[in-house]
Amino acid sequence: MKILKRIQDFFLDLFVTAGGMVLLLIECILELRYVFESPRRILTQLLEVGCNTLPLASMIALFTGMITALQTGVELKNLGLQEQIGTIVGLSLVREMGPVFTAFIVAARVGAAWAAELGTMSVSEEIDALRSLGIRPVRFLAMPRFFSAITMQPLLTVYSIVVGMWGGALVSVNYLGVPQIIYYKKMYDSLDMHDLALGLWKAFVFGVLFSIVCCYTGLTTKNGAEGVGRSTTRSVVVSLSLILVADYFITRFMG
Amino acid sequence: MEIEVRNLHKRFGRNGVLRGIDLSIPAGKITVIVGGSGSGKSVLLKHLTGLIRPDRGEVLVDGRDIARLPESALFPLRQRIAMIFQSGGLLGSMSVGENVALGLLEHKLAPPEKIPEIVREKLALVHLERKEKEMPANLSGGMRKRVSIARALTLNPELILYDEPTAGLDPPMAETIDDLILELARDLKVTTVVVTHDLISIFKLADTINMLHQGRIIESSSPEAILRSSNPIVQEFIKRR
Repeated sequence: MKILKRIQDFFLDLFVTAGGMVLLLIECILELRYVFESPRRILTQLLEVGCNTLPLASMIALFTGMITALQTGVELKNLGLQEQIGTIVGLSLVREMGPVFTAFIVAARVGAAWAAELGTMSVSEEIDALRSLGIRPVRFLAMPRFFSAITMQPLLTVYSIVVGMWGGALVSVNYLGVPQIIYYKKMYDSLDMHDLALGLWKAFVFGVLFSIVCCYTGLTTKNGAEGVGRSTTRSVVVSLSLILVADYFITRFMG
Repeated sequence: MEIEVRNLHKRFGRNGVLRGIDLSIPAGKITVIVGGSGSGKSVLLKHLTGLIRPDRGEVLVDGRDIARLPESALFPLRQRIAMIFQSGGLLGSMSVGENVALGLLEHKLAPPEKIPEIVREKLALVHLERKEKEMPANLSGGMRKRVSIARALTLNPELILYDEPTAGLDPPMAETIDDLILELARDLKVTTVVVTHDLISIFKLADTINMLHQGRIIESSSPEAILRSSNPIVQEFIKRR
């Protein structure tokens, strides 16, 4: 009986959480019409998601491109196909690694911080204080974060892809001896608008997912410092899992 | 602003916190709700501004049942009801001045150039001049509560709810807060509800005292009548006075 009760509680919690996240998403979309009424809050979040993530995103994107070129390049060279490195690096970065790795970085760096910040506000009665002042927490706290995620995530992804391509070029040209012009020509020939659109669409969806998950987890935090710690971990775990699940389905049905 | 609470029930899990509260809060008076720790005083207070929804019962604010209103309809009402939280409820990422200006800015109640002046005026009302630039983390508990009161006053509330306003404060600071509550109730003629278990505050502030015990109001009368009460639970509570 105890096991049945636990299973029942698990599914109940799952449905309540999923329902709460969908409602938060709808509220955030509706609140977007007030986006220009609080430029300072929006700008703060845009800087946090965009500019402050740039150094980490640059490093990870650079090495992703370099590793991809190295891993595939050595094998291709053995087959005399090293000129195809640009094709492989380009396609894998634009369609898969650029959007997914960038989303992982932002969810882990910014999303976790959001969950911790909003969680601390929840347990210290700051959210209740906002409500008691007649201020809507979703408009004040969640919407600026949601907006910054859905706008900056695609931009960061494009930036990561470009840096990754350059990283791939470094290895291809200097280590594998592929002429730079050939590397970029092959890359250009293999990519089309559909690939770019797919990558950007993924980035947008991942931005929606991690921002809603992290804001919801933070806003519903209970039980003091322990609860904040649990919310932070949960927000990252759920965000990364959902990003991978969404990635599969987007690739499956749109790729 | 008048409040009438009827047959209010609230349960958290298996724990029935409020079990049929009936309470009347008259306009312009100071109503004090007392009771031991964990008796549900703060939960009751949060029901009065719709921060918590009851399982059953009514909370009539000027005759309108706010327990049935959607959250969106509560936001305009909350601009008329100020709540002072036990912790102060100040936003830690904002300075004192920004905290006090928050309601004015968000509800566009004053032109931006007038806001610093209003902030200074409200801080002066709570005897906190020249503290606009301080961060909440650098203030004492008593100062944080006074900033919270200043922030509430910017919306010109008709009702102020205080949740344990003197908890954790040293006696002189507790007296300062009590004096401030009396001053505001008298000068601004706002309806006031104070939740506390501080006996000195109770008898200094109250026009009416309501004793909360095991989820019910077991006594509601003037301070003088409370002192003469024959109820053993009330006597047990006030005998430490």
